[in-house]
Amino acid sequence: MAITRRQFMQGLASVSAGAMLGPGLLMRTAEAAVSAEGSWKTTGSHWGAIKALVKGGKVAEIKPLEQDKYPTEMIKGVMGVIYNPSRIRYPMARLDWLKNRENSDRTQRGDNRFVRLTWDEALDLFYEELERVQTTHGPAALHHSTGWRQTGQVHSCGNHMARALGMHGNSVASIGDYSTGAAQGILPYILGSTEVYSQGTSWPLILENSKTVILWANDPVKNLQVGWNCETHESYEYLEQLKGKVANGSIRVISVDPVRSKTQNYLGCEQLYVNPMTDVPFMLGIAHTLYTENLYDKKFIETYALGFKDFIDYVMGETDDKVEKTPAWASAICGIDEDKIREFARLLASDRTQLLFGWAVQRQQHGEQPYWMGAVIATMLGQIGLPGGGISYAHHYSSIGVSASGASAPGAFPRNIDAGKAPKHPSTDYKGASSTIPIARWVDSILTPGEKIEYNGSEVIYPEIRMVVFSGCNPWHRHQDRNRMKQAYRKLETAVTIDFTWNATCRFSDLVLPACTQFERNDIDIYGSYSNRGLLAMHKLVDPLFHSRTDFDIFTELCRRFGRHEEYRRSMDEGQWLRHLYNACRDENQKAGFKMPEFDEFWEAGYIDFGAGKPWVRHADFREDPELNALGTPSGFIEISSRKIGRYGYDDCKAYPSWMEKAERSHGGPGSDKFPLWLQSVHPDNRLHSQMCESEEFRATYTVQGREPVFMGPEDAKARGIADGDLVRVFNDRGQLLAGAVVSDNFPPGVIRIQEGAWYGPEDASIGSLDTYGDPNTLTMDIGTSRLSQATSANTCLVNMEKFKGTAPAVTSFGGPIEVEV
Amino acid sequence: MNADWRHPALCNWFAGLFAAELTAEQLQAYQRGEGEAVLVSLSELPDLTEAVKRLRNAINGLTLLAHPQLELAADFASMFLLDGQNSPPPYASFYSSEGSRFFAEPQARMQERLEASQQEVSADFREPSDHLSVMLEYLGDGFAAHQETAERSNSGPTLDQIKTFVEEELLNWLPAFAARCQKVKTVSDLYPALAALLLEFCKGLPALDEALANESAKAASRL
Repeated sequence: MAITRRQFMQGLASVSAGAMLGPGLLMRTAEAAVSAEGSWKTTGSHWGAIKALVKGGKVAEIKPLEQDKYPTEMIKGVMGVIYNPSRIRYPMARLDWLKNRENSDRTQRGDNRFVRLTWDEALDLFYEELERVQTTHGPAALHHSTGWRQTGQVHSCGNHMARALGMHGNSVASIGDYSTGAAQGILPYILGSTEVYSQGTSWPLILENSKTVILWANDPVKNLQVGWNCETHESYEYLEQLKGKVANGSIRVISVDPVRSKTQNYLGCEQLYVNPMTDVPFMLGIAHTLYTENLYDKKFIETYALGFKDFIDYVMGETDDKVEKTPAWASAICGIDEDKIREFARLLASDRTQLLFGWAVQRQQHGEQPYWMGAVIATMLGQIGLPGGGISYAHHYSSIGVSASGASAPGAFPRNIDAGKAPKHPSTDYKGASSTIPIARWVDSILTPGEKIEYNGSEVIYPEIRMVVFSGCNPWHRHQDRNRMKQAYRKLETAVTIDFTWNATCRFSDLVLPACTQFERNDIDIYGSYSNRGLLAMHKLVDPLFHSRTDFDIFTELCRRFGRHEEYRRSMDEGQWLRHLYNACRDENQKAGFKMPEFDEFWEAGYIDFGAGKPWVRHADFREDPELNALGTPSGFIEISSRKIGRYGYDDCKAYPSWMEKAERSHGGPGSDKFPLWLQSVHPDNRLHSQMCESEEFRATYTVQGREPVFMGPEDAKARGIADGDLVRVFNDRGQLLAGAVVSDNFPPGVIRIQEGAWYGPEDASIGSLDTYGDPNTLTMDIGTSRLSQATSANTCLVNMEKFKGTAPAVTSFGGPIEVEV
Repeated sequence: MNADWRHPALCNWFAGLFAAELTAEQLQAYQRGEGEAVLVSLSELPDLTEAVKRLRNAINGLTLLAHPQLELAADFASMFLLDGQNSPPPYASFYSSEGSRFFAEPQARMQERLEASQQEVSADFREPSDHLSVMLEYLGDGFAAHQETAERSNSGPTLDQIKTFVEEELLNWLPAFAARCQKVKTVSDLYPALAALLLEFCKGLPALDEALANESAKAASRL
């Protein structure tokens, strides 16, 4: 039967009535056409300051800002982030959670159907869950966390989340971070501060005064590509000079590392190979040599340090273990010839020596010990506080070592509830549990609520966490042991994630809210996290894509649900906050003699330069007057041994630095017969942790058969029949992953590398499922470094590997839920 | 086969279905059989019988679901809303030679077309201009303007221009899109069937003859 036009139109009207969208997706525009030439805008990022050509409402080209003389290749990945095909485009909820909320089937997490929500629906649900958790269980049931957020002081997402959720109610807080947890635990006892996030001796003074520079597990050429605020890459100028001095023999640089690092290859410097995780025996052998050969600075120790005797008794075998830590003893563990240990110790003491430590050695079980020992050696050398001498734990980070200009950085949107205000749910009843836990122990807390652990001289009782909220944070990258995380997530009632691309954290969540990227909002940032070299306007390049919103908007609207949105944003919008932060910074800087123009002029120019700072020596003031400028240690002096730590009675962090065998260790250590390879999961060369892994074209520049590279030496490859470019299954009893082999002479036998930040993509949601892309934390161990710091032990990890045979599963890391049981 | 009065409306019908999830009201209308007139009209077009039958079966199958609206919304999300890894994003750019990226050259071309006709994507929709629904609505508007031109001598596009748009801007990616649509695990076959039907519908468009005015006149006489 033929359908008449009337019947057709009636039917069409009937099935179209009540549609979500109005009659037309297109509308007439009155706006003038955008200029075909486009315009260049300035903005910043962790990867550096950039200029972007915006044409026809789109980012067409990105190049480094003129001030950046050593830009990173990574800015080539920025467009792949903005226009990524796995952008979170709408607020989404996991279907079974939407139907059943806290009673949902949690085994489906990571492998489940989602539905789209309107922003109002999504924020109502978010708010309802917060209400339910606060009223039913109280603050012990809620935990939220952030990480390396996007840059920008107005929109810093962790601040927005913390302020909004803090105005609603209390929650389980965390302390420390995944990068430097053990350092933050130990160094305040030894040197009086965490050291890792503090300005260090200026590079020009190192270049001028040091005769020897030791890079201890430190790869600054790799790691200085990114910074906490907008990175300036100024350190590279000094590294270039150092390279010249290595070449002309005026400075000797030795990289103490099992691996030939990017920095070593760049500088053309020497390497001293040490077995993985055995830096402490090596250092004890050095201390033994310095002591027995009378090469240590007694006067410095007497004036500036305490506790040397307790330590040296241990070195000389006069404590409980009765083992003298001779170079011969050390050599058997660390793999360095005993004469070489002596020679190295003598070299350190022979002239001005700058020790530059990386963070990798403290991201292992007992990670406090190598950092403590580093400080002890530096103290024995007596050069702390001298230009080009002493020890640094941070010259590989955020251009530390580039002199600070002295100018003030802009403040930020506040993180905390305003003084005098109380949360809507003011309860502080944690039901006998702790209100704060070490950051790397949140999975333990979910799995074993009520358990007591020791931590930094106190006791922590794990709260029963039922709801988590993550913003600007990818715990499914940074935390260890994915299969254990899967078990924990089966206990969680609700997980909310605010992010801009579908990653594993989103897939394992119940409610996913799309934030826009930093390139879709106006902001302001300091140029140079520690050098404060200038002030950068972060021009919005394009409007928030799809239905994404700024964190500012998201949390303002959340607060509106309990009537406190005006208090939340202090009745200011984005533009007003920009001016407010700028003007406060301007007032502060004018007092110090740094002139800043009116806001509009700054915004138009895009950048203000504060100029270079003056050279500075870390701990010089302490050296000059240790009474007046006492350290923040209990005694005010360097504590070679710590009575305070001793009183804690920990067997895994004693009163003096000591060698303790690891739960697993390669090169003849425990477990190496079954899993002979040490897996190091260093900071990546081509990402900022997990940021930018999603950028497809850029990722393709380093992947192997679409997988994260696993770097290995020729011997280990040959022994397993693996060739460069092969797919490899890497495994241990904790998990398994696929990666692509890169065979390189940089790697010695028994050592392989998979860079952290590779996005997790299991074949399915089952425990033990093969990770299809190569996230090393599928294999790492989720234990605390010690009772002192309870930090991550990611670098204590043994594995084996084999050439992958059969049909490789598709990579599942870069998208939404991967397999749906329908 | 000539372009006729059905084409603008059918394009808009497809556009609506790919733009958003079905509301309860829409779903009930389909379940009451009120979509039948549209389906019959489609089945009258050449080579669409089987594809229409598949869609009709999918609609009829919805009665078996306890929560059809929610399940369809989840299917819609799995198909079109999540990511470019597992699902077929409904954007021309994703299938272009520039690699799997949004806002690529096809979006720029579509944007130029919209600007040339002083149009933009509605603020409520907040999608790039190469979203399938935007392109289908643009196509539907083209058919309507062409029809008006034939009837009233306005300056709408020629049928050749419309065919060129279909061939160069839709048929260059719809086969890949429709193929990916068949691979997504869904509870209902509605959206995979709809994608297959759209592909067949668009494949038929370049064969349309330039006889719109006559056909329209005939159609009008049937009212």
